[in-house]
Amino acid sequence: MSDRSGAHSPDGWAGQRYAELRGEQVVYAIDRQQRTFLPAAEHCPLCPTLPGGEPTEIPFERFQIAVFENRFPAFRSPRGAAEVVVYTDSHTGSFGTLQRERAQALMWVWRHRYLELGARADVEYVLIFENRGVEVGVTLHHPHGQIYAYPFLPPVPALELAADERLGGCAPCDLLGRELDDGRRVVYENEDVVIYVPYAARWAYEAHVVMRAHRPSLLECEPGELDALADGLQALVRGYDALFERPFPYVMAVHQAPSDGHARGHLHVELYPPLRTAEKLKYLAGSEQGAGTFISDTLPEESAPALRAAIVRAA
Amino acid sequence: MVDVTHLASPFTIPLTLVSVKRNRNAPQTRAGEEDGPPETFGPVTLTRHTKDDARALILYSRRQPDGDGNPDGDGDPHGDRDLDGHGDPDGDRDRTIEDWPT
Repeated sequence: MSDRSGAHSPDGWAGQRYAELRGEQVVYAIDRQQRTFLPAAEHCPLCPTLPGGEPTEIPFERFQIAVFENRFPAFRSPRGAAEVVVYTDSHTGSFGTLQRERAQALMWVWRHRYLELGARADVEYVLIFENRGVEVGVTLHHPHGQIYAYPFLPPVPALELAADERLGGCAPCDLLGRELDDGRRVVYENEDVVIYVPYAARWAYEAHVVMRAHRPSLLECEPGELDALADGLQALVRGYDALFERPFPYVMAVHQAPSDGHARGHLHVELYPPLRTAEKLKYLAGSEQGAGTFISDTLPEESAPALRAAIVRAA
Repeated sequence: MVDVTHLASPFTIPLTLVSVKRNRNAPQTRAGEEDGPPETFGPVTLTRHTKDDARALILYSRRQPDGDGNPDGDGDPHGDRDLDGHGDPDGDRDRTIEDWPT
């Protein structure tokens, strides 16, 4: 039995264990049980610290974008890192309601963190992500995302690299070409970015935000491409909110090259929204968890037009 | 009331921290000194800080105005118009292609 856990460290990181049957690592960060859970707005730890107010994680009266090491980290040096990215000092709003220039600046913050974290010897993969909505486990409502810097290559990016091998080249480039040729699932395009509900979407309104040009990571993007990426992401999440006229929960994950210096991969952002109707959630149940096979009750060719129309309405 | 640092960053302002009773999960941290001068990275400027529990904190600000007079989206069109800290209210006086990291 492979067990690399070691002792329970003072920072609450109790190690990672290799699950032989699934061929994957499981990380134990047991102090996360104590993390702040849906506090009232006046106790939000991501708000600025105001005179006379409660101390927060960001001891400044104003800020634009803040990044700090997670107080309840899933990963911590010398075994990776976990950071919180706070999009604004305003407690309300969302990524979609950020001013355009703020969202564009956020792309540079992501790029900066990818660069710095990816350069570390203890980091093999940098995942930038956002969980939005209690439906996906959000514990703080203040607009923010997170970054996990893994000390190993996680299964999903490993599968993407395997897809490159299987398809004999860049898989996202190939899939983007197929989606553009088909066209039925494309929901948004700008000069540098294409968004589509993928052919084999797991979630009813899953969307992939893909750079047109082959860019392994944010580091290879031209400034205009980063702006276009922000524009596309905002258009999509605003469309999500317009789809059922309610805040739309999602998991947003930035897929990039592993930080091994080989620049393999293709920058794209995947969004996994759990809603399949305005009130109904898709749960990971027997087949998904027991067999690893998603059962979807919505065809991508049917959800894509609805999402496309919602993006237009929200524009 | 403890008056703490005056921060060199043009995007942050002097602040006053107040010792108050905290809720159980309130972060036990205060602002530390800036860890060096502001850095530029493309269109953003960043200032690094170390919180007193040794965790890192980085504040990022866009170096150019939004074009609508409200550079940071907080409803204050004037609060930080000098976005790059060079005394240039347009914030992009010295922004050239060489500033964009590759």
